[in-house]
Formats: sequence, C-alpha cells, structure tokens
Amino acid sequence: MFKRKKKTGKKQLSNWSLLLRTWSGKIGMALLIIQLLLAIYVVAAYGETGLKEYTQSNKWSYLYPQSAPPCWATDKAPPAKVSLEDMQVTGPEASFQVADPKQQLLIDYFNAVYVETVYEGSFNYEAEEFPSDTALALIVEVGKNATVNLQTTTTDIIILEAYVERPDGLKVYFYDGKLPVGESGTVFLYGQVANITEGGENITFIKPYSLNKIYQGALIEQYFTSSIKQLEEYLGYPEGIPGLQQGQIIMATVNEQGQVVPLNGEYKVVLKIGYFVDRDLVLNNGQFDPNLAKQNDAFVEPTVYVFEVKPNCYGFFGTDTKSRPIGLGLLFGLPYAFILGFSVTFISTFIGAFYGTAAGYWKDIKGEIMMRVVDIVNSLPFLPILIALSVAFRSAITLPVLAGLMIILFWAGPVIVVRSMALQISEQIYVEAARAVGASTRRILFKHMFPQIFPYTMAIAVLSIPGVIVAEASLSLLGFGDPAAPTWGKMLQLAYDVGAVNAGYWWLYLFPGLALVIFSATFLLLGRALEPIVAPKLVK
Amino acid sequence: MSHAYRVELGEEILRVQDLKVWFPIKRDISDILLRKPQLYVHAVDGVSFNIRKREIFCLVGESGCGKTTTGKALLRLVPVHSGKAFFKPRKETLEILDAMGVKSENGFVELFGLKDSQFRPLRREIQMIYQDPYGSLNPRFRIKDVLEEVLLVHKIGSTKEERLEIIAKALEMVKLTPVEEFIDRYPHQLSGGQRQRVAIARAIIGNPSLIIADEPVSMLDVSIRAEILEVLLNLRTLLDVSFIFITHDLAVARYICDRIAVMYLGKIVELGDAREVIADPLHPYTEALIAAIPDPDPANRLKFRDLKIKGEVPNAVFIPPGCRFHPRCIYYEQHKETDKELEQLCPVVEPPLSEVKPERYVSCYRYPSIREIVKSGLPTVNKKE
Amino acid sequence: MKWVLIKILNLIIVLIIVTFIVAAIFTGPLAEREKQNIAQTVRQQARVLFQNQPPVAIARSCALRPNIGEQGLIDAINTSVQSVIESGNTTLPQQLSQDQIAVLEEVLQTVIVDAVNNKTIVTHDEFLNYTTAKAYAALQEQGINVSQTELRTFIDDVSAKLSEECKKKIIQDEINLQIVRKGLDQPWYVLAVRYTKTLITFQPLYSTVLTTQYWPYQGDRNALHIIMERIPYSVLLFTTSSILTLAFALPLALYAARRPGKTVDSTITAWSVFSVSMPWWWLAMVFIYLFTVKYEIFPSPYKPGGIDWTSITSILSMAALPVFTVTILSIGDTAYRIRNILLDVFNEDFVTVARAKGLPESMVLRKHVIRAAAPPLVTIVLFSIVLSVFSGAIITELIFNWFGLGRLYWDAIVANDIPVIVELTYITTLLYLVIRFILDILYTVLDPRIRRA
Repeated sequence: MFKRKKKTGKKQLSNWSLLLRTWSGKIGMALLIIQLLLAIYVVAAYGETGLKEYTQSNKWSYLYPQSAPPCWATDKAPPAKVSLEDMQVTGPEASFQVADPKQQLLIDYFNAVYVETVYEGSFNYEAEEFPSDTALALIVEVGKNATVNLQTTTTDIIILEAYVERPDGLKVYFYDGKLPVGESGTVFLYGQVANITEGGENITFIKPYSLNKIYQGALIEQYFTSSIKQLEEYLGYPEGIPGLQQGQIIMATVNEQGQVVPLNGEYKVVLKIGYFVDRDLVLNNGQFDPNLAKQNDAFVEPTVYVFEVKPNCYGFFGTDTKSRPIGLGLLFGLPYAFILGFSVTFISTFIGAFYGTAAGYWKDIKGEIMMRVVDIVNSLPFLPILIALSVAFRSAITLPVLAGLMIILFWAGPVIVVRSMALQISEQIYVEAARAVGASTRRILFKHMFPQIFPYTMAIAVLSIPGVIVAEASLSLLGFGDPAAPTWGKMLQLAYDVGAVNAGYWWLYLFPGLALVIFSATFLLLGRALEPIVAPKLVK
Repeated sequence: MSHAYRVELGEEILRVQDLKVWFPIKRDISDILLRKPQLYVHAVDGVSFNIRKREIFCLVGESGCGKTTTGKALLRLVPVHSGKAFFKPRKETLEILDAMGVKSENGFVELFGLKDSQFRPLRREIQMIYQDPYGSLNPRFRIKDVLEEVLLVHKIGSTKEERLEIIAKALEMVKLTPVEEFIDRYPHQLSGGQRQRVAIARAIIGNPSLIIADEPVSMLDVSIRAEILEVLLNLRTLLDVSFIFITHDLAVARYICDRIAVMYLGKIVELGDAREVIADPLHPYTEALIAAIPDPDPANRLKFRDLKIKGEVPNAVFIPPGCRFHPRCIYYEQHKETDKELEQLCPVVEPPLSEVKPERYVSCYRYPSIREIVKSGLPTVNKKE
Repeated sequence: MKWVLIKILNLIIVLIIVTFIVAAIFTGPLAEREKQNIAQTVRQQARVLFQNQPPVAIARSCALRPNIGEQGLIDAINTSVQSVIESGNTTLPQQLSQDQIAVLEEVLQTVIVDAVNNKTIVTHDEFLNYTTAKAYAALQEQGINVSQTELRTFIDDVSAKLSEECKKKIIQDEINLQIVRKGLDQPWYVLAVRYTKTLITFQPLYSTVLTTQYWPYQGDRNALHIIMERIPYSVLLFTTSSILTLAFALPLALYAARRPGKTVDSTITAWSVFSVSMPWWWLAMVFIYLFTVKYEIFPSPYKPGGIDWTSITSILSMAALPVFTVTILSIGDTAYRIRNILLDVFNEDFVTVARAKGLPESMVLRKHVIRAAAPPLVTIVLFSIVLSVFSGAIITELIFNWFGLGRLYWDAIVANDIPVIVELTYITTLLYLVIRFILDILYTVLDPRIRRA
C-alpha cells in the first residue's frame, strides 16, 4: 500500500537518453556539439593572441576588401591579382642601339649602355559585373650608380613604362616616362609596403592602393588620369562614365546595345624598365651581368609590382568596414560566447542554488532575512543597473569584470524555486536522520540536499545562458563591451556605429545576430528538454 | 503471543524529568504589534520516566499524543521548552565530554543544557530508527554510504577498509547477508524489510547505548514484522543497548516491551509492566485503547462493541483544564453523578502520576490515593523510583 | 484585511531598500565621474581665462577668492620664492648669506602683497618696476646690497612661479566650489540617503542637464516631468504592442493547447525559442533594413530628426514599424507561456470530468479551463501591459530613435544626469513592486485555495 516509487539513481542514469528523445533535445544537442567542436578548433588553431588579433591587429585592411558583401548575395566579380613573382621577365638585355638619336649620343660618347627589362603578366576577366575596385602597387629600386655620370645632357636616363593592355588592344598607362633625375634608392610610384609588428614578429605587407580614388600627388597621377581620360573619350563618355570610378573604367567597354559593360578577356600587365649606365659597371665580356650590376650598385629593378582586381564580394559572410572577414569574427566570437555564457550562468546559478538550499534549510529568521535579500536583488531593474555599473567601470571593463557584474545581478534568479525545493527536501526523514546521527549542517547541505537540487539548477543554468549572451551583446552595442574580445556583440556594435542599417550593409549585423540566435537557441532547446527530466514535481 | 525474552535489566541510564516540548505558533507582525499572547502547541507537556540498561521501554498512544516528539526531543531534533533529561553515556564518550568541559554527575549528563557542539558526541550514543524505511534513507546514497556517514561523522575507523569492515559487521548483525550483495545497492533496490534492517544497522553501527525506535515495524508487511522485532530483541543482549520503543500497536508492545507508558495529549497517563498494563489497565484511556484492539475471532465480527471513549482528541493548543482526558472519559461521565468529588477534581486539578499498585503508576482520580495527594495539597509527586 | 496591510508594509520596506541600493549604485560611481568632468571643464576654462594674463592679475584674483585670501597668496609667494632659490637658476641668492636670504624672502612677501593690493598696477612691467624699487629700498634699509637688475630678474622668476602656483590654487578652489555647489562633496551614503528620502516622499528632483522638450513647457528641469513627457510615446509603442500581442497570442495559445504537437503548436514553440534567444534590437535592425531600405513598405528610415514629435499623424505612421516589430517578437513567447498554462489545465482531471459529463466544449472552456488558468493568465496580462512601458526597451528605442523612456534613460546616462537616472529607475521599481502587490491581491480573489491559506 505504500508503494511510492521515488525518483531513483536508475532514472538519473537514463537522463541522457531521455534528453535525446524530444526533438528540442535532439536539435539542441546536435547544435551544441557542432558549436563546441568549432569553438575548440578555433581556440586550438588560433590561440588567445590569434583571437585578439581580430580586434587589435590592423593587418586586415591589407588582406581583405573593405565592406564587401557576401558573394552569394551579389553577382560575382572574380578577384584577380598579378604580381611581380608571377610575371615573365625578358632581359635584362644590354644594347648599344636605341631609336632616339639623343640617347644614342649617350651610348656613343659617354661609354654607356642601354639595359632594358620587360616584365609581363596576365589575367583573365570573365564576368558580367565590374570589380569593386582595382589597385596598384609599383615600387622601384634604383642603385646609386645606375646612371651614367652626365653633366650636360637633358635626355632621360631611366625610362619606365607600366600599363595594362586590354583584350581590345588598348593600353591604360600607369606610368610612361622617365623617372625623375637624381632619384635613387626606393621610388614609390604607388602603393605601400607596411611593416607590422605582431607578437614580436615582423610581418611585411604589400598594400596596393586603390585606383578608384587615386591620391593627390602620387607619381602616377598625371599619367593614369590622362590615360583614363583618353579611354573615356574613346568609349564616348568624355564627361566620365556614370556609376563607374577610375579603377573600374580600366575594364570598361561599350557593347552593341550601347551599355557600358566590363570587357572580358585576357588582360596583360606590363612593366618596361630601361636605363643608361656606364658600360664598365654592368658589362662582363660584352654581356650584361646582373651580379656585377648589383655589386656596383648600378641596377634599376622593380621591387613591387602588383595589379589587383578587387572582388566586389568576399566569402560567404562578407567583410566589415575594417576589412575583417565576418565569417572569421563569427568563429572567433564562439569561444567567448561559451566562456562568458558558461561562467556567468554556472557560477551565478551555483551561488543561487546554494543560497536557496541554505535558505530552505534554515527556517528561522536567518532564512527569512536571506529571502528578503533575494527579493531586493530581484527587484533591481536589470539592464539599467548593469549599464550604470558599466559606466562606473567604463575604462576598466574587461570580460571578467563584465562577467562579475552579471553574476552580481543574476545569482538571485533561481533562489526562489530552489528554496521551495529545499524546503521540501529538508522535510524528508533522511535529512532528519542525518541530523540525528550527528551530521553537521554543512554535511547535510552539501551531501544530502544539494545533490538533489543540483540537476535541476543545471537546467536553470542552461536556460539562462541566452540571457547572458543577449545582455553582453546589448552592453557591447552601447559601448560597454570588452574592447579586446571579439564577441558578436562587438560586431553588432560596429554595425550600429557605422550606421549599417541605413547604409545597406546588412551583412554586418545579420550574421552576428544569427550566430547569437543559434547559440542562444541551442541552450534554450536543451534547457527545455532538460527541465521536465530533472525537475521534480513541486507541490503547489 | 507471549513475551519473547526476559533479560536481566541493568542500572538506570536515562532519567527524564518533566519534559515539555511546546511549539510556538507563528505570529505575524500585526500580532506582535497588537501584543497578542504567544500560543503554543503542547506536543509534550510534562513527561517523566526512566530507563534502565537493556530495557525496552514502550511509549504507546494514538497518533498526535506526543510519543514521537518525546523521542525526538531526547535527540534534540525538536526544541525543548523545559525539563531535564539525565543520560549516562559510555565511559569513552564521557571522557570526550569531560574534555569539552561538560559537567557530569555520577556519570549522568543533562542533555538539554548542552551546546549543539557538546551534544554531538552523544549522538553516537543515542540513535533513532524511523517509521518510514522508504523516507529515512537518502535515495542517492548507497547502503555503504548510509552507514559510512555515521562512521565519518563520529570519526570511527581511520581507513576506508576499516570502515568497510565495521559496516559489514553491522549488516551481519541485522542479518542483511551476504553483505557484499547489499553494500553497493541503492535503497530503492531493497524491500521494505531490508531497508529497515539498513536503518537498524545505521542505528547500531556507532555502538549506541540507547536507541529510539519510532514505530519501526508499523509500515512493514505483517509477515516481516516478527523478524525485525527479533533482530531488535537480539541486539539488546548483544550490544547492551536500551530501547525507547514508540508504537501505537499494543500487540507489538506486549510482545516486545518490558514496561509501557501510555501517553495521552502530551502526558503519560499510565506506566507499568507491559503485560500487567495490557492485562489489567488502570486508566480509563488505557482501557479504551485495549478495547479498540480488533478482535481476531471471526465469530465476533458482527458483535457491537461498546466504545470506552467519546469525542475526539482535543486541540493540543488549548489543553482542557484539569485532567486532560476528562472530556472524553466514560468513567467520569458515568460516575460524576454519584461521586460528587469527581466533579470538583477532574475538570479542575490535573491528577498526578503516582503509584497505585506496586510498580504501577497512573494519573486518575479513580484511585483514592491520588485524590488524597491532591486534597492534602502535597506537591505533585512525580513518579520516582 | 490584515494581510493586505502586511503586504503594503513589506512593499514599502523593499521599496526603500531597493531605492537606496539604486541611489547608492548611481550616486557613488557616477558622482565620481561627475567630479572628474567638473575638474576637466574647469581646467579648460582656466586655460582660456588665464591666457596672456600678467602674473599680478592672476595673483590678485587668487587673493580675491574667499577660500584662498591673502594668507593663501602669502603661502604661494613663499613656495615660489623657495622653489626659485632652490632651482639655482638665478645668481642673486648665491651672493647672499642664509640670514640675508631670509630677509629677502620676508621683503619680497610684503612687497608682492603690496603690489597685488595696489589696484593701479596692471601690467607686468609696472609690477616689476614697483616691486623692484620697493624691495631694493627695503633691502638697502636692512643693509643688504644687491644689484637692481639682478633683483629684477629674481622677482621676474618669482612672479612667473607665483602665477603657476596661483593658477593651481584657483583651479583647485573652483573645482571644490563647484563640487560643493552640486552637493557632490558628501560621501556616497549621504547622497544615497538624500536621494532615497526625496524619492520616497515624491519631492521633485531636478535634472542637471536634460530638460523637457514639449510638456509642460520647454526647458522644465523637474525630473518627474521629463519622465512623464516621454510616457505617452512609450505607451504608444510598447503598450499598443503588448495589447496587440495578447490579442493574437490568446487565441493562438488556445488553439495550440487544444491540438498539442500540431503545426500551430510547434510553430509557436519554435518561434518562442527564437524570439527569446535573440536580442530584440537586432531584429529591429533587420526589419528596418528590410522594410524601409530594401522594400519601402514603411515610411522613411529612423534617423535622428526624422520624426516630428508633435504631429500625431507623423508619430502614428512612425509607430507602425516598431509596433509591428515588438509585437512579432513578443507574440511567440507570450503564446508559448499561455499555451503551457492552458495545457496544464487541459490535462487536469476536472476538465476530463467536465467533458465526460457531456458539457459543450465552449462551456468546458469558460467554466473550467479559463477559471482555473486565470491567476497565471492575469499575471502575464498585467505584467505585459503595465510593465511594457518600462521594460528593458532602452536599445529598441535607441534603434528606432524613439522619443520614449528607454531613450530618456540612455540620454541621461550619456549626459550623466544622475537625478533623472535615479528617478527613472525608482519609478520603474515602484511600478514593478506595485504590480506585484496588486497581483498578490488579485490572486487571492481569483484562487480560492490561496484565500483559505
């Protein structure tokens, strides 16, 4: 007649299978495993410094296009890049005959020789869309003795020709003329070489400059603009082609319908360098000897020549306004979401659970006061207080500080439910029996009561992870996040700060938000599946 | 059923004097502000008795009469309002208590005057067996853990192996064998009788000198009750342990007890040798209790039996004045017309518990000796040895 | 009715403590920040004010400040003289003995104080001429012979130093003055107690930065008015939304609870998962893009200055998208919670009995289900409608650039307007507690079981 089947150890063992019996449990578990593996992979592959690079490094603008939308959302214009290493080199060849009689004089009377090198590369462009931009880097190294010692001549000594030859045979010149006399050392015609120190390591980046917006006073400015002008006139748009910028016009043509479309086909990128130099410095047995030229500081060589067709999109997720790939940010945010979510919820639930257990065990004035404290903490308006505390900590706010603040406000959440459970458990005979044999309060709380309550509090903890993540995102959006940690909240903050909504940069906030939703939903699903399994029926 | 064992009783080990357990009724803020008096539930209202070594002392009464509370009060599981309990622990325990600065008198320690920390060593000496074998074992503890807890709390056995040995011995003593089979099980994997054996093992594992058994067989199947009682009876000779056996079942009480104390509404109304009390009840309430035992003879099943009691148990907050039993007392009802003295005594003055026959104590004005005590204005003499 | 009184007492106690905590949290750190702000502003003002001012003018304004006075000036002179002597840049002290330097210090002190008190001296040259002449004469009297040019250079150095010292003193004094004027010199608990007292007794708190825009007139600094002015806008946005939400969620939940596991039910469950796990403002961003930028269904983007907050039609047309967004967001969770409550009741034995009795389903619903489910339903309805105004909508309003309470809170945080922040938080807490109190009472009316207990 007293057959009361209590929840038992056996039932505990089968929790996992029960969890997987519901659809929410299944989906939640699958999502959790996938995200956990991803997070572990990210941490293992990049390390903490690798993750922090996302917010702290400035290398991104050298690596990726800026504010590029995802490639699936736009018609793709393929990127192309031709750089010096891939180019065919003809020469350097020494010759004693040049077309210009003035220059011929140099050879004849000043014991000089003309050395010419041609670099040629090519790329194919097959697309309906214009690229977002094209970019160029051209840097030439000129030896100190690379010119014949002339006092009287007015002729050019170093001649440089850089252009793109389009499939239709037209040439767009970047440079076509002499290098300024007296130049030696490194001549930056366009673009930049950047040295970035990162973790004690020096990394060199070549940064081609945009041809859409050519900067004032660049050495190539005059040649390039006039070349583009000619092209525009040729295409029938002397006032410029609407909607296209200089860098894009390089690839423009007019089709039969009279529309401006990108010209498909093979583009050649050419660089021709010729210079006059003292024969003795470079010739060995009448032949040009590069080693000798180097040795005598009598060389003219390009160190950097890069022509880049910038894609109008990047990857599946696009890039943000700081050229960082969104996809990478989503990955990097994952471990932080895990760490923050887990630490805050589990610590605060643990505190709350233990507090509630103790408050349920002490039925006297002690427990009463404990519950009033909880009442007060629960009455505090959450976000306003968090914002206020963040303002107070503003300069020093880091992820641990943020976590601490949230714990201070979150711990009282589960106390009321836990206490009502503890009240019931403390009425159990075995608790009194433990007291009767002399078990201490600590022992009763930890060994007898807490283990009963623990599984349920874990469900509460899992259910409150979304709240933590959303709170972090909200605080980040308002500018109270950890500036170093690449959380999804920080990505959303960037989107908000640059006005991504009205600027149409939807990928800046869509993906971080989705990542956040998926992450939160994982735990909500799991929690909802867990709750009925671990929650003992509460007496009303 | 006849009395199973008779053993030589030893010296006195526990003396309870005028124990009162009153539970205060919670007052809210307005009651305090309005200065309403604090009300109490008089669960135990002045109980005195003594127990000797190896004795099985029964507390009998209907539910709510305070018998369980009396037992719990001795373990200080409920707050004691007033009264004293002198307990004689074993020598080792006494030494520990001495070291803690506890005063003792002829080896007796007053239980209710101790601090919680001072009482802890005594918890090894006084143990409890609960009525509900399903509730008294933590469902998350294996049998091993249940028993080990006592050892850990009282620091018995220094190594795990040593403790396991003690546990095995205790389980053997309650005949839960083979030990290896049970030691790693959870309570839910055992039957009710087996669980109660575990509970008994838990009570004896610390080698106590007094066990409070709170209806240890009432929730068990009738078939296994006898076995459990057997185990308990064996233990008292084996371990030199005394029992306070709380029961509402007079049959069980008659079988196992040496002496019986019948409680009504927080007070002992009759006390004496178990068999004598049951064979020849002196108090009207005891009479009523015995009359209520179901008659096992099927021939009598249709016979009307006159109840020797009327009405219901009054509220323990407002105890009737005078003899607390008088509103329900048939004797009073029948005799108050003829015996005018009763009307002046029963509803007015509480009858003291005093000896009316050798070793038979009762508190009822039926007996002239008790009337004399009250009338002569002598101080209420509590039962004394 | 005794217990009602107890509950009111309890409410007041909790309210006082919560208000105190809120006030303490805000006044402590924010007051600290306010102090820093004051210091910064004063320094900036001082830099402009002291530009091209001769030392004598600075010293004079220093002496004129009541908290510094002549004694402060004398202290400043002494320190300046000391530091100039110690710096060793000037030749004069090296020619003098220890005693003579002491005399020099004394002389300079009186001479400079004289010069400062003499209102006719304006320029630095006049000051130098005056002091050099006086000091020279005084030194001669004491029998100390020094060259006049050297003395002049020395005094010049001292006056430069003096001007620095005085600037420091004036700035510090001004900062202290302003801190005292704003009451920030008190320790945090005094401030907190002061705020608590003001709030509990509903005395007006006056904002430091923010003012009202439209009501009761532009520029009112009463924090309560600033808040009340915004309430209609928040009501328009959030209360409308929660009424709409309930209007949709109740029938949906009823439908779902009667067919658990079917399409509607699982849709509600799934949507509740998503809407709870996403930040509201994020969906607001997505919706703004979708419905105003990409497809122009709703009127123009929510940019600052986009809405005329006095024109009803303008406000209504602007409210459409936020109301839509908030409704969509809260509908899932509300419906899910109501469904759970109803489902529990549907599974109760008395409902089965009622059906078994042959009662029509509508009667079962009305007489048994709804009545049993009433207490928790009332909680949801009351909380969602009344608290909607003050719910954590700070960011949602920020995103929609809405002129409501959430925005006010943010504005106050940005402007560091402590009184407004505290008042707003207080009113939110008060409302929350009052609603809980009303619910407690309603519960006893609705649930006979509680009444008995």
